[in-house]
Amino acid sequence: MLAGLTMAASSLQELESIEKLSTDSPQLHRKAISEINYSEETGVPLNTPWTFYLDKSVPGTSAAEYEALLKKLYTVSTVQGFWSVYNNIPTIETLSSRYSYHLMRYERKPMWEDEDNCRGGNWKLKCHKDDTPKVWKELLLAAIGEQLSDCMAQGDEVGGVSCSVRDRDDIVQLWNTRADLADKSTIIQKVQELLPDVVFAAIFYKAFQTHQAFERGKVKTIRE
Amino acid sequence: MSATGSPQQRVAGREIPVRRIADLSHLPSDYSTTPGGSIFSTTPGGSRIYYDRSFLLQCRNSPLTKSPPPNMAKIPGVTVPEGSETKEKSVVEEKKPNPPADPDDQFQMEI
Repeated sequence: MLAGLTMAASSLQELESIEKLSTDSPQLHRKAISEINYSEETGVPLNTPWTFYLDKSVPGTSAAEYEALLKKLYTVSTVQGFWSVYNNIPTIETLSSRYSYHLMRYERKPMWEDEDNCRGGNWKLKCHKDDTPKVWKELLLAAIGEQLSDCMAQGDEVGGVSCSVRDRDDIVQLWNTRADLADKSTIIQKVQELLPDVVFAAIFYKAFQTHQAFERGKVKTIRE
Repeated sequence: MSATGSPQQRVAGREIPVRRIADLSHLPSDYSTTPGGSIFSTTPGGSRIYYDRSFLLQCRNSPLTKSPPPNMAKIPGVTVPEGSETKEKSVVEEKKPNPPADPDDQFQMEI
């Protein structure tokens, strides 16, 4: 009996030490957790929480000015929570030009300088307005369903999806966290598989740190 | 637990277990009881969770999704009706016809 207890204790310790070693998933702020707990206890959990943001693009703004204009709508952590936001905000095709929706993993801000984004970049896809509602919805579902994660190299992940309404064609963006691994991703093939009828007028990738406006000094100070 | 070597060695090569959900009945009943007790599947020992498109769409009409989360940010014209609180131009525009496509348009990113 005594021996049994000792064994149990030692394997528990072992288990705890293993847990400590493999706890490398991002931590949520307490505020985020309490918001999540509120209304989403009964839904089907997502792999990670995702946050809806809205912004209006104003040319020439600094990172700080942009951050002040950025509006966080809600952090969802369940499938039902996702739909309760999606079903109750204006659809993408009704937004005025220069507005964007973003869905970002955890509570990352849709900013190049966010500490989880700053080593990454994004694919930009120029999208005909007739296709935008479908493209946006499919990419949201692929993101929260983690259908895109198998397309990413080990160590890389999809950090967000965005859709920006512009005067002529709209712009869809897929954010990743490791620009150095973007070449190894097959995400564009996956998008074309998900949307076989859609032809994107242009597709390219850019690392955030290669933007002239990237504010190196701003990295790390964004999170409260 | 009887494996030899340091915990680090044993943990290093382990793949994230994957569970694909096509229907609610596939969801494990003990989903939220991983050690450490969070609902997120990124806890140690948890698995990455995938949902396919049709399952996600099935959830769209759940009663929980008919109204916005009660504590969602109140933004006039977006999450609440346009009020007198803001003079800002509406986020939602009245539809204008699309400008004609210009075949010579150089791809200009405007972000």
